[in-house]
Amino acid sequence: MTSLEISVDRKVYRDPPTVALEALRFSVAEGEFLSVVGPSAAGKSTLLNIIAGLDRDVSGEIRLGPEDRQPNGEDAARIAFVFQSPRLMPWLSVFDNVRLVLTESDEDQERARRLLNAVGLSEFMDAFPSRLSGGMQRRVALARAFAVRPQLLLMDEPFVSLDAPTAWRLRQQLLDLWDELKPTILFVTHDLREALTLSDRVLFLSGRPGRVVLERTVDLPRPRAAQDAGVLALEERLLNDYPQLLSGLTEDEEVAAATDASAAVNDARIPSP
Amino acid sequence: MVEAASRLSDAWLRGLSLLGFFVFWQLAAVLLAQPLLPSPTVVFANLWGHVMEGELLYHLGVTLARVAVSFFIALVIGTAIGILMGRSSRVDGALDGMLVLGLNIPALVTIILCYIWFGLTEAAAVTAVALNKIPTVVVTVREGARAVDPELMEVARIYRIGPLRTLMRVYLPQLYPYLMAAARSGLALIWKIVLVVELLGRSNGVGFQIGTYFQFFDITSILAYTLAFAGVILIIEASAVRPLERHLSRWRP
Repeated sequence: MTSLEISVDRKVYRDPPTVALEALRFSVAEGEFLSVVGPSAAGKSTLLNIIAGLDRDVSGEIRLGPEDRQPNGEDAARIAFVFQSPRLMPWLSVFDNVRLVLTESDEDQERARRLLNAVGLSEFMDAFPSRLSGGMQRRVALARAFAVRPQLLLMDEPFVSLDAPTAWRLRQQLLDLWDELKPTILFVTHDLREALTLSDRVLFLSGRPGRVVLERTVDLPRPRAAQDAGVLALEERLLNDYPQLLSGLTEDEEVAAATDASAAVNDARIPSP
Repeated sequence: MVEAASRLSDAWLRGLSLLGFFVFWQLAAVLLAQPLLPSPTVVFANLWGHVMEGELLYHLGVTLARVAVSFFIALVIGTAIGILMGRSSRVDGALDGMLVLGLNIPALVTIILCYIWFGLTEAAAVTAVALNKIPTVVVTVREGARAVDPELMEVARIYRIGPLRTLMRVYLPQLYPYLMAAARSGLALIWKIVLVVELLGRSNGVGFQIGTYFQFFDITSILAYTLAFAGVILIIEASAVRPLERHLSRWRP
């Protein structure tokens, strides 16, 4: 469990020269579920790679936890990452894929087994990933992520290209696991309804270079479903107020959004059905 | 079941093609009736004689030991260099010229130079064989190292999997197909070179024996020794290499 302080001054790709992120600042509270929504190429994946320490070529600062700890240092916070594709080791069984990130201790073995049970894969422990459906592979990736008892869980559109019922089952499993272990979650998506259903708070990024153009607290009671009137009303209101929201607001709207910021937060407090 | 059945028919096919080869040989030998081409029955009888005298098994064992040692050395060193060259374009640039040189120096030159510089010793023999094989291992493994999936390596970094475990469970499995290819071609190449090494500077082993029989023009014994060794290689291939390959690729759909 840890808080996260992001302050990216500038992230530049050299070839071709593009500014991916600029003046991107926000923080995430301990145990918070924060979604980041933005158009494609807004630098959302870049942002996660920077936070994870996979990309160090950036000017800015990522601060994890209460103390001034550097990511990936000796005492660094435990980070888990669920990628767009499951990224399982195809030569390891389902069970071994989860055990890969754990120690050999009996306790950890038991933990791997319990997590696979929790995502409904107890009968597929010895199967190789190639025998599993796309949805099942993602469940293994989810179990692997929670196996390390992450303090910070980064998720990069983890449920894309799944059929809707499968995706919602997975989202529910994610929320159950989050409820149990309460890691701080940073969830990147381009699906507004998904973000509103899952998160405590949603950040909207502009197009390239990505920065925060709008922030909205989702004050709806849990558990929520995607079809809840509250979720639908909030989605409708957001899209009404900011038609350009999902393609990254234009400059004018951005200014309006900034002045509207306090009102926007109040707007979010829609009475639950 | 289906898998087992296809494996069985596969074995039949291999057996049949070998049998066909011996039938063809036998016919050719009978028709030509030349002392320079003994028939397989004569060769097998001769082979049996050498086995009973005991000296064939001794020389076979000596040669196999040399093959095993130089195979192991070449694979380990070649894999290490191949990984380094595949990972870093700077190392690749620095060593590529050497690699081309190594690939093109005739085996005979390496062998003679090793014997001259290190004496007619076992170490010189094994070194010469390994030096011949290392460049081809490097080329194959470098290909594999270039094809390593950076996304899977990121998983290892994120989850802070230790270096040894990352090597064994994440990195090397991606190289196995390339290592198997290197091992297979290595086995074939190495035993040929070992025979030359033995012919030139050792006083035992299959190569030494064949050299001796050459001086007596004993073609039947030469063929008997060749058959014995080829048989051993076939057995190693069928009982070790292929099952290992099946095991390592069992996860493929």
